[in-house]
Amino acid sequence: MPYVNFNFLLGVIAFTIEECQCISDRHFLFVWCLLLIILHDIDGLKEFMKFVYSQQDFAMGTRSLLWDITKKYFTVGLIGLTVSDRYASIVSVRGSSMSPAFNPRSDTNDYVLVEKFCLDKYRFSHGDVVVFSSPSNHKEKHIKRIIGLPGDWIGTPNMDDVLKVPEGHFWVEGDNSVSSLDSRSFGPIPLGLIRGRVTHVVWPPQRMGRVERETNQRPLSSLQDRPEFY
Amino acid sequence: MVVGSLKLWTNLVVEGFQKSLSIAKFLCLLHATNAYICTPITPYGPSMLPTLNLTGDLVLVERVSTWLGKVDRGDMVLLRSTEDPRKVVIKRIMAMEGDTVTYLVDPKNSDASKTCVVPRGNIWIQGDNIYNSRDSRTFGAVPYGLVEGKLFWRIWPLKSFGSLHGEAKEDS
Repeated sequence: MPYVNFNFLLGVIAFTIEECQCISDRHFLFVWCLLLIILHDIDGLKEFMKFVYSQQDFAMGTRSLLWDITKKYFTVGLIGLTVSDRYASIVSVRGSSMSPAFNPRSDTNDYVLVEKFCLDKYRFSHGDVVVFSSPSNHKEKHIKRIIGLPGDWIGTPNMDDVLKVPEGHFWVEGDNSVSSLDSRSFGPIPLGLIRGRVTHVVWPPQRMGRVERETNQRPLSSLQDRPEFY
Repeated sequence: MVVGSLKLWTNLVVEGFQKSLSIAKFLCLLHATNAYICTPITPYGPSMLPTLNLTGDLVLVERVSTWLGKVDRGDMVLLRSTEDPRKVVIKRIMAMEGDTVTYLVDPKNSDASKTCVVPRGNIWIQGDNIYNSRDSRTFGAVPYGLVEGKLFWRIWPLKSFGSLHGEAKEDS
């Protein structure tokens, strides 16, 4: 499931709220300008700037104000980037390959909290839901559930044989096995591709809460201690 | 009296908050530069031997070409190891997706060679020291998503200070 980064928008909203507290005319004008830029409303922006510059005393002090605002946005963006890289970020889930855990109805997108602390040690357990970049296209990110960890034996319904997950790799599958592109098609994936672990659903509000670890899905992974059966 | 000390404390708290905020800002800037622009590393190990020394080198790794997708054959890259994700290794890219590679399976003992095609979204990496390197010859092609940066400048030792691009080897 591809996902989009939502932090930038959050930062902008937070900053706008902060700006509105000390609402003066100019601040408000600039916030409005930036909103228009964000919404890609170029024509509206042109009209707006024309109006602004037709007012007499506005040109004075514009530059320093612009500089201030740029600096503030830069700082907020920097902090947001660091937090989303190192600690946690919020991403939206697209597609139905993880339903019913995410997107039980196909017309809405869920937003989930992804924590990055697990990337220090790369320690995961069965049933964790992780975000990882696709092994065939590094620009795509997928969200799936870990079924097998290094050393486990995995048997798949459509293949009759059993294979061992190699060292430093993991085996993922979507909850909705009918419409999911996962390890059954591209095999075990290096752990280094993991970008974070999904812990909570944050939106929509009625389904807010922890993401459960489901481990009972594949009893075969318990065979890891006695591979001599195969 | 009480009001006065309260004011003092408030001032102290405000000042402390501002100080820590500026430190946090600095750390954020540091993180952003390290993660998205470039970072120094000290490589260690025998696998890149004629190019990089066993130990004691200091090289710069740039991240820009990784996320622009500008990494190409012959570049030395920093990538997360497939065998142990806690480690990063330095190898040279020998082939990109769709290329055909021919490699010696066991260069120490035999001339046997193998040919294979690199799958979509993957790269073929090898160490310069083919006699002592664990690379794609043992574990196959690796996903591009593991690449974390490209080596581009050597700082230490000073006598070989300079760009690392000219040393690209002809690939097999």
